[in-house]
Amino acid sequence: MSKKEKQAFPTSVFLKMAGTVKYVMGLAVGIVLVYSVLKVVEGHMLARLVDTIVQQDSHGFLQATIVIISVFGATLISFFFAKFLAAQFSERMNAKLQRAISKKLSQATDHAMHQNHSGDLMSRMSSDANLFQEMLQQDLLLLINGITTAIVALIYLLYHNWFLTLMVLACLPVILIAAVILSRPVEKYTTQAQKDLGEINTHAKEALSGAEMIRAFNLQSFFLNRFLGSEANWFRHTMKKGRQSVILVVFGILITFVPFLVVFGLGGYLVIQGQLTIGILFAFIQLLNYIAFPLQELPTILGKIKAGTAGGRRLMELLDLSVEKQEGKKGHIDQPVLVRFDNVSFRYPGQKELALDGISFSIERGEKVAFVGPSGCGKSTIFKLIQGDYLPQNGKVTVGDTPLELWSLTDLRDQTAVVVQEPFLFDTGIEENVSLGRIDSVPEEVKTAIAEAQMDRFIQELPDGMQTRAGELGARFSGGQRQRLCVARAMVRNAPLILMDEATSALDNDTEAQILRIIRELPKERTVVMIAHRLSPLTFVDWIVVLDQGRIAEQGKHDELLEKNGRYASLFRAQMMEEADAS
Amino acid sequence: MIRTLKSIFRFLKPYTVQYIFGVIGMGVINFALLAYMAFVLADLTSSIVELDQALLIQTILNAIILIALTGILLWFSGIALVSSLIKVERDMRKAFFSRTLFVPLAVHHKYPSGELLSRFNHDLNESVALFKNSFQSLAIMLFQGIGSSITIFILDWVLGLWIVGICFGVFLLNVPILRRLRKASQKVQREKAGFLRLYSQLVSGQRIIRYFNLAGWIYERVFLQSETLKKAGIRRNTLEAMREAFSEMTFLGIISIMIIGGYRAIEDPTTLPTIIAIVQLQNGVAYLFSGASAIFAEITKRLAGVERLVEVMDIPEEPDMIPFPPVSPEHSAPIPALPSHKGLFVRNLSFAYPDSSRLVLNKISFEIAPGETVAFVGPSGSGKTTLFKVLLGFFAPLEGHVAYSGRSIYHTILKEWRAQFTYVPQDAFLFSGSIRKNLEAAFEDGSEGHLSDNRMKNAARLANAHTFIEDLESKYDFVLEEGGNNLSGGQRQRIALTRSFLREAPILLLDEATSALDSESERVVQEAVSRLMEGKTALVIAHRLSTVRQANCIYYMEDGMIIEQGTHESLMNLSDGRYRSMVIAGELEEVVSQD
Repeated sequence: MSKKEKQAFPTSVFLKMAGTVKYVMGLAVGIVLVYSVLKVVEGHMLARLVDTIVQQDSHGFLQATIVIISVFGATLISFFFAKFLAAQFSERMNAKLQRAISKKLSQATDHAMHQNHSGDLMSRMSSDANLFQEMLQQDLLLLINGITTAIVALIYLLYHNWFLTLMVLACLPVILIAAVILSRPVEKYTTQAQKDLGEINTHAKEALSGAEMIRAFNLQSFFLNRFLGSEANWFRHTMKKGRQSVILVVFGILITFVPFLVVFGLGGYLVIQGQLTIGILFAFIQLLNYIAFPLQELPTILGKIKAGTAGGRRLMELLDLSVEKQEGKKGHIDQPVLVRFDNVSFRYPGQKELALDGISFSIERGEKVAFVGPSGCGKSTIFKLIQGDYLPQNGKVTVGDTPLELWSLTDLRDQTAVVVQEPFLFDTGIEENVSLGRIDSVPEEVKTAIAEAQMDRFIQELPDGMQTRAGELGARFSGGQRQRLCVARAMVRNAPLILMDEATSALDNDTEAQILRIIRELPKERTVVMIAHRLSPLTFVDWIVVLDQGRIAEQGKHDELLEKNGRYASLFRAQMMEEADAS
Repeated sequence: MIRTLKSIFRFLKPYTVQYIFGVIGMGVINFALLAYMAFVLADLTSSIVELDQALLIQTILNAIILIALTGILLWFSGIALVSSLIKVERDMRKAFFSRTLFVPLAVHHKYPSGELLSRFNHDLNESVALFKNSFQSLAIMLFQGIGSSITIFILDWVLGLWIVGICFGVFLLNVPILRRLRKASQKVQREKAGFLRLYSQLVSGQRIIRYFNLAGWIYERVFLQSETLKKAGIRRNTLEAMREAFSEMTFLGIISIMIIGGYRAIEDPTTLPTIIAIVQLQNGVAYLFSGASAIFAEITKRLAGVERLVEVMDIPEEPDMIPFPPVSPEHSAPIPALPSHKGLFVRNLSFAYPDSSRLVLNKISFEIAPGETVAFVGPSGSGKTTLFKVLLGFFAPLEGHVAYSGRSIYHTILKEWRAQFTYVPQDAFLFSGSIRKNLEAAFEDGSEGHLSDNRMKNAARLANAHTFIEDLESKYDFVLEEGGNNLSGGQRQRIALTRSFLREAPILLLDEATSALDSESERVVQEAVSRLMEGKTALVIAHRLSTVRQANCIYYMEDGMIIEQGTHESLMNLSDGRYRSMVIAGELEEVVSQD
């Protein structure tokens, strides 16, 4: 039951978000209702027109002419306005959703981001949003219009001749049932052909990804034959499906004439008997379409509406992303101890194992500290706690003079500058990217930072210089160059605490050395905390903390740790052995 | 456009008669049904007006017979159309697929696999839809429209002129709207893409946005972009509503005929049936004018898909041999008398990728005696992998010579040349299908029956794969998913190694995997790799110290050149050697990784 509730479209949230815009849609629906009635009136007036002709009533004919022209004008106008209003509604709602979701996303917690795949976040905003918008724009009105026109037409026809109406309606279920029976084998073959096509697609993907190996091993014909096997299956199934669907089409076209023949025959008879006017007979022919339409199109439209609401639901689920707290106080960071962990234990939400298990340490102003250890040892978790992504379950984290839980996150993060392993740049110019380190930075700072990161010469050679677009589209930058821009961005931030999370482990030696040189040459009062993979570049740091399974295995200066001959020493020696061998 | 059409029609050629019969049949039938309806209505009207019951019955009977006859014709032309379409689709897919297999590898560098795949799926569908939908709609539209117009003109040429005039007027009214609509739609597409680009940065840069307090900055951009998109969307949809409303105006034709005809019929009631017929036929004329622009727009759009498809299909296949003299005349030189060297001989080999002047390989020379192992070491981008690709004949060299056992690469059929190599890339290449099928791919074109159970199992034992395969439910018939994703990384590598053992080619090209395995599977794989190298002329792109230590010679590459060569010990003794500093920096992995 609760699952079912979750599947329902969050109508109240949607309407609340719509605010006054919902009345636009209300108006559109109202106009569609008017339009439905006008269509039936139009049919009726055509009947009047025919009747007056047959009765040779030129006065009545003139009247009917005037009415029908005005009705036609009114249908055109209402048609346009219904569509126009629906467009206003769907586009405005789309923009509202885009903004609300983007805002949520920009404030979502680290935990929420880990629970959602980035591909999923993307597809909700693209394909799901498209389905939803299309439904708001078109299908909803089509459905309402189809149903109301059918009902009004049905009432009109029943009123004029219930017998003929019922006779015509009696044909419809027979037709529908026959269509279902006939389409069954088509569905079977469609499913099979779809499966074959899936196989063909797999062959294509494999032939493309294995292009080198196929050539190296002379496997061209081998792969062609695999493909031809699936292709032959597809051909067989599709041929069967094709034959069957031709029969279906033939039957479908023939069958649509049945109700009309009934109207022609029976209706003609009734007219000759004087029980029906010829005009009403023509109204029958015209209005029959309006009744038949929903029966034929309803499944398709309902399918689209189902897909659209499901898309809308998935889209609006993004509004439930949990966001970070926005309140808190601004602490003071000008203390001798910048960060202190007191017996901190932490486990990620929903996890059994402790990520940190009774960790204590402190980082003093101006220190360069490194955390090392195997992956999963808790290095990154420490960073996330310092950034306020999570609060520990036990123990206490203090940044500056203020406990972590009291900090306002915005203020806390103003104290830190981060460089992470994957260099991320925004899809905008280099200058703006680096200046984003601090929103109120000035161009000189940006220039200096770029020079410090040794990117100035490279950028000068670019045709667009500092305006060259970075980000995903700026594929002209290598990983190292992008990372150096990220370092420049962190420098611009001018924060007391610099956090480097595996910032150099994806880079080649030269680039790593360059970046480490920048760090080493920072002014004394800047505090740097690094997470590192390779140990050899760490000789310059003041303090090394070796972590293992969420605990501190040992800590100390590089030399002390080597003397201790413990875990760090063995890790380091393994890496340095060759150097010793050689010299 | 004409050329594109021509090139796509070659796929229709074998089935032209079938297809044309089908398409024309569809057009004729659609017109016929419309015309019956018109005349049935006319007869109906006269029978009613004259209160003639016999005529009424006759009319209904006539209608039933005509509709039934049409059904038979519809069945024939439907079958002809559908089967010709399916054959065309099959032929196109086959031609495209086999072309991607037989073109030179450079084509796959030019078109990323996603691009080729989208042409294979999307553009091929579009091309088929051109025959399936566009041309068929065009035929129906033309037959119905022209047929109805002619019939109306025969019935009453004045009303005929009037109807065509109104439909044409509505069409003209629509032309400027259509143009604006097209532009507005393009703008919506652009703005939507712009928004999604922004949003995707929000997704992938979320951490940076939080850590740098950039939520406000990005929100401002989202706000502006969604505002632009909203305006573009409203404009597009308003134009669309206008277009549809204008198209509805062809209904004016019906009304005006009713009025004009009505006045006449009041004078002379016998004209009423003709008026009714004309009103019905008017639908066909209206469809011609309202549908034409949409159909032509659709054809133009689909032709773009055809163009992308044909572009790939027209790429020539890989030649049988690598051309000599090499591609650029300035580098050409006669083939020197090759030494009767038994092993692999490479002299002055240079290479640059097409459309690039940068030499990825710059006068590379080395010789390897049979059974020797050499290692290639250097920073990424130094040309090691490219060297392998040129050795395999994937690309033609700019200059230089390659020979094995005294046979030049320029004088050997590529297929035979490649048969001398076993290439082991970093990522195990496995495809969907049974393990057995994957192993059969060791042989040229996977010739079946080649592979006895005994031979297969022996190879698997050598690759340390037999035990785990025997533990699988269906053993060697275990079916791999795409990319072998239902096996672990180590298992995948060992199956690929089994295939390499089966191949029994004299030269091994091994691109060592940078370790992504736990130490136990790492050890098992390493053991199999060492066994594979035994007795072979082996070239290894090395990432491990243990590997380079075993090599008879190490070539250190940078910028496409071999700048140091020698054994590990001798290279470590060069005090300012590049290789030495690389080793000291820890660039090569220990076998037991530190994690």
